[in-house]
Amino acid sequence: MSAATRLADEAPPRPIPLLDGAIRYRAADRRLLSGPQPDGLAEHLARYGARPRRSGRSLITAMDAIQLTGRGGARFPAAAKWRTALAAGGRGYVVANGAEGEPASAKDAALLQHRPHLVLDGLATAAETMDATGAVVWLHETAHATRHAIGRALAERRAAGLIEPPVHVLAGPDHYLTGESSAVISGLAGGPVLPAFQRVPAARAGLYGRPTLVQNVETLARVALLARTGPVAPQPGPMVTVAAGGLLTVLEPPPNATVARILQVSGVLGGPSAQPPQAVLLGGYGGGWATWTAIGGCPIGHLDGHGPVPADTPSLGAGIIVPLPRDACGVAETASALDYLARSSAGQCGPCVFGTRELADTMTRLATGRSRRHDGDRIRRLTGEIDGRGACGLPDGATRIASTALHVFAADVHEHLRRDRCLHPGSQAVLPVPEIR
Amino acid sequence: MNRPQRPTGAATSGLPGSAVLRVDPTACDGVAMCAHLAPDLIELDSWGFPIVRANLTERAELRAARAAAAGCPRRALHVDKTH
Repeated sequence: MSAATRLADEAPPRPIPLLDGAIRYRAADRRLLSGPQPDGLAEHLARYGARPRRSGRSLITAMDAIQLTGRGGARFPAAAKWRTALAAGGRGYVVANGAEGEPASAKDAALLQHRPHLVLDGLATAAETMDATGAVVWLHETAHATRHAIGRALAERRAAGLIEPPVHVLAGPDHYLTGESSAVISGLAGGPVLPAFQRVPAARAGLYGRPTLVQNVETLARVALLARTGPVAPQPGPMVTVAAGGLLTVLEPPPNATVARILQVSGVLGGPSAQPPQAVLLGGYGGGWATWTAIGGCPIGHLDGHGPVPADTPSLGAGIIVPLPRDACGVAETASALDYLARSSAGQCGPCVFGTRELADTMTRLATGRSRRHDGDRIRRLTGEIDGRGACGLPDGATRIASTALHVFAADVHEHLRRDRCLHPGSQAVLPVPEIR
Repeated sequence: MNRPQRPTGAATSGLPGSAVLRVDPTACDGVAMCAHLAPDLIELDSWGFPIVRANLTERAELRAARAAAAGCPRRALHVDKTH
């Protein structure tokens, strides 16, 4: 038994978890397969107690103390955003963002379906802190189970006579970019649900020019917990989704659990004799690849920003871990991820329209044994050329996936480039890439 | 309206590094007028879209940036204060 495994089993005192137990979805249609009983209001109150009337400023200090960052993937410090909004006069809008765009993520759905009241508590606290004009839960329009859970929770709260700002439940199209914060704001204003160029941060001037907080639902659930416990209490580890074998498994591992341990618990890394994966996609399509050697023994809390990580480790983003089996081709997987991103482009920004597409096409040529001279250099040039040049982070995600692939799958890339030969012929596709309607 | 502004007092008294030139990539159509108006600040990528050097540290740069912003037919360039 490794030291890390032992640590994961001890660790007193235990933090209050957001979830307990794994929640499992089928990746293809996001149907719930297994999970704990969802909390009604009575269970919620028994588990966490009533929402405290904690004043805004001290809550923001507490958010700073635990270094709470946005759990939607961008990992922007939440306290800084809230301070900006308050400094701009507040009285704007607060959005609980549950439009989970990453195909390999299900943690937001799991949280909204099983702990809706925790998210709604966080939203109410944020709205009160900002003296907000409006509070919104933002979802994908196809997320029926989630919408039902939130609707039921809101009805329970009304029936119980909870005093809190009214909440609107609104939804955008089932698209990768629907949860992108500027797209959310554009959609709420009645415009297209597409990313927009922001000259000033939305926290200062967002929806209708008012300070607007768009926070991931997990971020708000953490705010709700923090308002109850204060920053001194041990904080639960990050929520993660492990995507493997056609399943999305949502877990809340303790911060000292290693990636290897998380895969074991999720049932991916079978027994001790099972082969570990060759690499891991961290953070989904907005993230990047890491070798198993580098990442397998790394504690999740470190990947979550609370400790050192190996050089060039991609961001954990929205908490996505996709193990790549030994017999899979990293070049082919990267090509399919890049193609998904290129197809998901809103088509608004030149560098993305042309560059992300060219990057995907070049990687696809490599993957399918049709590489041209200088395709390796072309990929390197394109990643440099499109990085940071879109209104949203989509081209940056493509850049990271491509450039980390060149390192992590260096041997495969070499074979594909030099000999148009795959080191893993006949391998099954691993990454979930939904159709785009 | 929105004529190129003659640099006057407050408009150009920005301290070095206090202004940035940014392109709104959703508005930009790659017309490339900006690269002619401010060649020292803007180069074009493989597809003809501008790559801007953001931080404006000298008065001449600020002037060139304003000229490029004013000359953009898509109104895609913005000279913004950093704070």
